[in-house]
Amino acid sequence: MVTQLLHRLSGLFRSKADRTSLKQLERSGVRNVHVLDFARLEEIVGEAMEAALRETLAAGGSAELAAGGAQVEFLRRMGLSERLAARGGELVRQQEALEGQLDSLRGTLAQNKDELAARRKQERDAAAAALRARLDPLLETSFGRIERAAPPVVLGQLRAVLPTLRAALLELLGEALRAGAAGGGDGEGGEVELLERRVRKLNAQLLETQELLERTRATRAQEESGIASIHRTPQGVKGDGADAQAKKALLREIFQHNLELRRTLADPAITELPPR
Amino acid sequence: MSKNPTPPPSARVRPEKPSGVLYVGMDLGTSRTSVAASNGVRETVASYVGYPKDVVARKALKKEVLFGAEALHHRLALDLYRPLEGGVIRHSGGDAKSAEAQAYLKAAQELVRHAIGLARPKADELIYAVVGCPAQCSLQNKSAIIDAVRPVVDSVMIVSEPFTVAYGLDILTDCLVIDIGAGTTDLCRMRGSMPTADDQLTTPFAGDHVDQKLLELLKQKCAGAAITIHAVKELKERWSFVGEKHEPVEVELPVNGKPTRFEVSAEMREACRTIVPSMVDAIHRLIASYDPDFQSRLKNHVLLGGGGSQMGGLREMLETEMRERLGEGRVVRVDEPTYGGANGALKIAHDMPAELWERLS
Repeated sequence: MVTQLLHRLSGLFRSKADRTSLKQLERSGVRNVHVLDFARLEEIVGEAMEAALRETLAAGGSAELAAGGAQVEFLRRMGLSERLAARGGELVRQQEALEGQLDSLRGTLAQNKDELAARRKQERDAAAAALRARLDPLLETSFGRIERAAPPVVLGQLRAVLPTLRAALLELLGEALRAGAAGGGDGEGGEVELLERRVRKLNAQLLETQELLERTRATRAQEESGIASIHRTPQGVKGDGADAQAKKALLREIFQHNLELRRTLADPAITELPPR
Repeated sequence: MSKNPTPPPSARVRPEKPSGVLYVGMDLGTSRTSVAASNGVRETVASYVGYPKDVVARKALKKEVLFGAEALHHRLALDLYRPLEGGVIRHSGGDAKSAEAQAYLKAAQELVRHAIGLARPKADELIYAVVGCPAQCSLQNKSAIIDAVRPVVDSVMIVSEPFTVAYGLDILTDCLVIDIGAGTTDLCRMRGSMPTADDQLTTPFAGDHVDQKLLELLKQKCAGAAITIHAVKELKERWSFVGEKHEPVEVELPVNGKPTRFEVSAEMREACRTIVPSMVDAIHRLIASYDPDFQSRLKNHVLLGGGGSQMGGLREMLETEMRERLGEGRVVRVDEPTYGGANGALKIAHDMPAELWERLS
């Protein structure tokens, strides 16, 4: 699927690119340009997507997070520090929004939990009262039947057991009611967990982006503090003596050799020859 | 994401008129990459490139790519590349589109970019670079080197390494340069014009060959000792010699975790001597095929450069061998073996007329 997408990318890049002529560029004062071909762009996008998907899937993240990660990876590979900084800011905003959502959800959840607990207690009490109301006549009826059939010597013992049996039955029924009530409420808990995972993932992305920014800043500082060459203009062998002439001839030979090399390398028929 | 100090030209801010020209001479070597620049900076870095193996390693190292000694130090947490082999980019002689070739080319580009960064160029300077390559480098290899360097400089030329050494010393006539690197030993005779293929010879008997041989010998001698090729390389760089007389070489190697001392003078000598016969043969061939009227001058003007030239007793041994086989011989070791190639490349870059640089940019 990624391959199919990448095949469409060059068309997309072309449709989004501004066309201009070399003459127009020259008129605008542009003397040197650097070319990044579509194949390389596709390669960069592919690498970024692959890296982001690998990390996001490993962390169990969503498609949205993978897209965010891919954007960061792409900017990093393109060396676009300003865009990277902007992306870092966006991530901070997203993180803040998510944390806000999470706080509000936690508040609602706590309130809902309290209300639910109170309602459940009420329901449990009502159910227990109803059970007791039904249990007592049932026990009376059952014991009445047993007393009629039992020998007179055990009647006293049977009556003594009745309160203990009633208490045990009520205890068992109460536990059954509590266990039945403990099942609900998983939906909201799951949502909180999901949001927490997203926040963790965003935090990780944010840290990574901040590290990249720091490194980019350090690099820029280092570049700006580079050491200037002692030459302000291009040099070359000076003088017309025999030594200078000999050197010039040698240097011209080196140049010719390199020029030939470039021509040879530019010729696909030659460069595709098997290695020597 | 910046992996090292220098961005590619496309990322640098370029004013309409450049404010300076930085000439860079580079010796892109199998073992070390050295640069000398026209701003007075000279730097060298071990030719290793390492990428964190996983997210954990990347977070711990806080870098996306490491170079040289730092890469070696953290090698267990890295996918470590030594992008050059035999003086050229690995796999550049085969299928250049294979994943492996692409990975090594990428590592070489990172290394070159890092090396240029070590020269600390100003952001608005043009960078003109001359890179030394082995004497008998193939077309594919040269293409790979150009591919590695071009993205980070404004113009680049490739020159045979031994030639750069001779040019740097201003000795361009009747002299024989021997450049002993890690991957290859290059020999080039200078006769006042550009050396042709007949003037140059390359042998694979160089520093890496010595390392392998020494590792083999130490494994036999130091039973039970744990030793890696990296440790062997360090030992060689400190103790290498070929002569008969030398102070005892005592090294400490871990045996079952405990540091143990071993006396390895004989092994060190034997390993180092393995590069001598092929070198003497090559010297013999280049001198014997030179114009007979000038052979004597050539014999008495042999320059020994490159990291391997530091082997104790090598100069004397070559002179002895030359006297036996050629009747006479005088060998001089260059003063700065590490920077000999880079200095010469810088000098070529500086002397090259501006219009020629522009035609190649």
